[in-house]
Amino acid sequence: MNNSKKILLLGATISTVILTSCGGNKETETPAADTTAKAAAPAPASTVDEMVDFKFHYLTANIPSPMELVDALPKAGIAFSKDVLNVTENESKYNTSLQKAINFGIYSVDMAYLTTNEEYSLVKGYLNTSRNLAKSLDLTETFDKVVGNRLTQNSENKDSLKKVIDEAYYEVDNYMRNNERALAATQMLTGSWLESQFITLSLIKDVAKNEKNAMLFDKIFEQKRHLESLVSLLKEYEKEKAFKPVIDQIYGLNNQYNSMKVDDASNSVFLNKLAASVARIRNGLVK
Amino acid sequence: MSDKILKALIQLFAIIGKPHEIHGSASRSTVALFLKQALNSEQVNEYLELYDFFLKTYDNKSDGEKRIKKTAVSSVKVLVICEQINEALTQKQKILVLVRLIEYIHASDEVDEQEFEFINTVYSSFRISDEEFEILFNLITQHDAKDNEALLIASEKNNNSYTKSKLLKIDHLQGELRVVHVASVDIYFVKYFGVLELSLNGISISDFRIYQLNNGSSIRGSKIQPIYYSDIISCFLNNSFKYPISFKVKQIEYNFSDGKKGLHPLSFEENSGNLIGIMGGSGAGKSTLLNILNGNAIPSAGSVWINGINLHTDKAKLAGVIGFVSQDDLLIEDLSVYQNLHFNAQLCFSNWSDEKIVEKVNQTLNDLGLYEIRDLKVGSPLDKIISGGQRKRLNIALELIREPGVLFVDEPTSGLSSRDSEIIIDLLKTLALKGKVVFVVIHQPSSDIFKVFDKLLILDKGGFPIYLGNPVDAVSHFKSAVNYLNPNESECILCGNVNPEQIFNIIETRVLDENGMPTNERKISPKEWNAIFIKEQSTEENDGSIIYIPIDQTYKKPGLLKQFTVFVKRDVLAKISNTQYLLINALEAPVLAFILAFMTRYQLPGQSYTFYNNKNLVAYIFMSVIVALFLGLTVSAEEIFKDRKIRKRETFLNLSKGAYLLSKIFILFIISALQTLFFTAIGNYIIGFQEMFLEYWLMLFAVSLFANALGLNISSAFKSAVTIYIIIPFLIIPQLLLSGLLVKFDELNPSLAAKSIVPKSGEIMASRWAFEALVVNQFKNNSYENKIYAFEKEIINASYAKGLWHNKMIELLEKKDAVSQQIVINELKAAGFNGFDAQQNIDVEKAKDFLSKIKKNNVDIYTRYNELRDHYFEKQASNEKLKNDLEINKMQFHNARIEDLAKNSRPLEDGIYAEAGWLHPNENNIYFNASNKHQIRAHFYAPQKFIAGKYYNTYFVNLLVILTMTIGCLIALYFDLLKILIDSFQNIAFKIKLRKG
Repeated sequence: MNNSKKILLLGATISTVILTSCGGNKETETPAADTTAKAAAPAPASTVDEMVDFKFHYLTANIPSPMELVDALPKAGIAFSKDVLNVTENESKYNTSLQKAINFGIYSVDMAYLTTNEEYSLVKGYLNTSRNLAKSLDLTETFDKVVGNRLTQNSENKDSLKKVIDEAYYEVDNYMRNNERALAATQMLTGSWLESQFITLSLIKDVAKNEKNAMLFDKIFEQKRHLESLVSLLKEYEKEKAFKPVIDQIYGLNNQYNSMKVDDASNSVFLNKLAASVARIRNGLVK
Repeated sequence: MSDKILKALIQLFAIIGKPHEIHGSASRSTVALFLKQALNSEQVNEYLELYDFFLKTYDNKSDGEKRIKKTAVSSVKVLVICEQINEALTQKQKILVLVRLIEYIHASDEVDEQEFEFINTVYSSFRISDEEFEILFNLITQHDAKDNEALLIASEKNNNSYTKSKLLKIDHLQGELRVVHVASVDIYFVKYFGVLELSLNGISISDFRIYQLNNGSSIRGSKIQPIYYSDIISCFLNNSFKYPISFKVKQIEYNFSDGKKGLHPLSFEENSGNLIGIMGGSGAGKSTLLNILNGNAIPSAGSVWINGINLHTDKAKLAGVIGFVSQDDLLIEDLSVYQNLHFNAQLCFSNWSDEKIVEKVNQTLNDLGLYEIRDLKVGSPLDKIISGGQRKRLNIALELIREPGVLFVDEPTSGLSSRDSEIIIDLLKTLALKGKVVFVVIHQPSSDIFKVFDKLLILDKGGFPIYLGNPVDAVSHFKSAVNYLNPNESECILCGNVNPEQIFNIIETRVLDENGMPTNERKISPKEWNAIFIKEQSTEENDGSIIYIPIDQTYKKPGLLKQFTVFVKRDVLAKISNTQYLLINALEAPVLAFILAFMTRYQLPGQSYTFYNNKNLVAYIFMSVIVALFLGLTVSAEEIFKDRKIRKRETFLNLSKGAYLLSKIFILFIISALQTLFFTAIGNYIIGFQEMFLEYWLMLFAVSLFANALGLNISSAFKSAVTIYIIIPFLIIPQLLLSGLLVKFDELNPSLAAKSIVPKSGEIMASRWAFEALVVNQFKNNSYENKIYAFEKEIINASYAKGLWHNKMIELLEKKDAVSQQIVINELKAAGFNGFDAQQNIDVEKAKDFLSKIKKNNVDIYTRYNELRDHYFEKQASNEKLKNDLEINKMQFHNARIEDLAKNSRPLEDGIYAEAGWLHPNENNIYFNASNKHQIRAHFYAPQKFIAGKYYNTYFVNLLVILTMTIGCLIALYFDLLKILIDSFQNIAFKIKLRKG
């Protein structure tokens, strides 16, 4: 297996892992069960009750992988553009957990987009960046387990990609379940959803609908429903001071998506407006 | 002499002058002669005119009978003038003035009463003693000598009519040569009463004048043997030694380390006043003998006694008694003639005042004819500033100044002109006459020099002593031994010359083959010569009794502090006067700093320079450390080596090695401090460090210090400059390689590598400690990171404990192999687990429970510190100014590459590994404290290290380690450990070679 293929496989795997992992988080432990923690430790902000936990599990299951959306772009004949990506140099600007989590989601989608367009030379840089953020987010172990295995495996079978994704999915899902990371997972999901919207809308806002790309416009319309799920998930985190401004912006965006009719999804004027709103939120988060 | 004084003198001359003799008179020419000594011809005329003027003035006032009155009046004037002179001239000069005045009044005819009265006034106001005046007056004015102790009469015949005067018999000398010694100022005057054409130092002697005899002077004539200064003063000095020296040699022998005989048994005894020549072909063991006699080499048998003290066993008691002038130049080339001597004097006479030392130095320079060149730099033999003869004289002066009781001089005349050679030998003879014993190894001496020696020792090939006795008799001794014709004729009948070559021609006569060609075989072997020698010696066996005689204590070794200051001053002056050295050392650091910093000042294309984005900062820090090492090594590598000759000379002074080394260290440390200061200032400014200047400088300084100490070691242990510079790469390259940057410590050859702790091969590298300290300090303590480092450390430690470590422990708990079990036991014990049963087996359930508690704990810690960290950043982001400041801080003080390095990200590897029975994190070294299982030692980039139960910051610990290494090197230096090691290697190598050979 040559290097570029390896990287392609790798990129695809990671993106998938990261993105799908968001749907599998589950909080099982309640504060009451915490008997050994130091008495002085404040109750973790991310502790949610069982209802929230259920909601998270349920809702994330209903949001399809953002990878699916960017995966559709080359099939729809949309040419690759480097400009829609978040540059790796921005990584050093992310200080807080929130910034890191959101941008981890964003970079993951960028990586998926690069992989699906077979832009191997760029994947490497994003891989490093993602790893650094994963490290900061305490996801190193999971990240490396997937990445490390894939690089050393001598798989030449393209069909094994699916298998790898599944494997990795369970790996990360398992990790998240056991590590009380619902908040970070939600933030990542928010970031990756936004980035998938940003890339897609930026690229197709001025493209005329045709037979080949019709399904892309259909997918845009479907986002209305997915955003609904995301919003109800975010409602649980309105108490998070740092996260709140982002949540509010997503609410605003939700209103815009809600007003979208079937025809609007292929209406250049509407799409441009939508793209501008998405870009504003997304650019605010990456800078 | 000042103008005022000259005028006063001219007046004196004029007062007593006789007007009718103004032109062309003898008196006038005496004045002229006197003036010529001090002035050029133009000025002489000027003063002569003045003389004429004064003469007329005084004369006008008087004639005939009034003269008496005039003299009375003028005697008052004379007194006034004499007082003036008293204030301005030294006693020595006054004696000279007096001599000229006597000559002046005596110039024309008999001295009349007024003149005598005048001269009386002068000498008494000059405070010259009656005796000295009288003898000088007699010498100049009287034809017949008056018997006196201060008078020497040299003539052809033994004149018995004198009882007090010294007598010197000079063959073929017609008339008398009289020498007067003015003891108070130690000047000799000579006057010749005779008809021969004699010359003093090449200037012909006229019979009515008196001349001053200086050191090294000689009187020559076509028919007489030269009369040297030493000949003359020996007559005055004889047998009046204050501190007599007795030098006894009893049956000394010497064997080389390979068993060959270097010197065959030899005994003799010498006393004060003797100059002993040692001659012999090359390989005859002259240097060996000299080294035994001066105490440098220990004889295989026999002993050497000086005044009843054994030279080899009681060396300390003889400190300063022995002087040795080796064949090599032992001068400090960058110092002037005066400085060389002055510093040497300071090391010899600690109990003297500075003025006395200066006076002594000047006197010695005068005695050796070096006064005129005293301010010239000595220069190297290749870049000569003073001549070969002067160099030799200075070498001798260095020993002479402290007046050692026994002086050894190795070939003082080689390469010198015959005139220079004579001066030097005469000098040595004079020294001997002052009560010393002087040994001189000499090659092909001229006849004149040959005869100066009191005794001659001849060695033959293989260290056989074959002659000891009068030098001139040597010729007849060898002649008679081989049955030459007229063996008693030891010198040329016509010219009186002795040919020392003749001796060696006889000794080395070869057997002829049938064709009359000389073969390689000697007619009489060294052994046979030695047998003849022993036979003769036995008849005059010395008594061998050893009597203790007090030793001259002029030499007083200064205290350690004084030695130290003298060494420092001497070294600093030498360094300052070497412009090239100064320039290179001053510019080296700034230029290197500029080159290094300028080249590594990377900036992102199209953006302005930010410290944060400089990708080469790691390289810069690493190179700084290496530069500091280099600077330290190069500045010190030749230090001791360069001084080794001077050190060799100074071994006879028993000076403190500690004081010497300390002076070297002191100077080098100052140089290093300045160099690293310049380096840090310029380099850090260019590259954009805006803080932690002191930390950088101090660390580089410490590295330089270590390199200094290392360099001093090699400079004292190795024998040539080339070796030293070949050694430097051997010291630098491991420092480069094992600094921890170029090659990771866990990726070395497995026999050296280690991961959880820096391997031993790395621990001995100063570069690794310095580099680590600088990186850790730069990362952890910069103004951006220092606000969040504490949070991050907690976060990462907790993250490791709850994640990687926890999972690994669970995994290992299930495994039943011994290695895994050991790790689990170690880690659990360290964490405080006590659920072991009687057989020390782990209760798995209890352990899991314990682990989950730890995990829970760490989850809390993790969450809490993450919040604190986020809180900090959120606060910073809350207003524009703070946000801006944060960004600026990061760009100015933090560096991305340093961060990468310190966090040592290892993508594609497990985040945890097991080594030596313990688990270790594979990344984020900078956040994990050193394990408390080791003292000081730790994994690379550990932020804190463990010493004796406490954690200390890495920077501090590493600085301490480097300083300790430096001190270790200095101790090794003091005890010459490296040299001992190298010597023992060489011995082994030599033995192996012998066995093979």
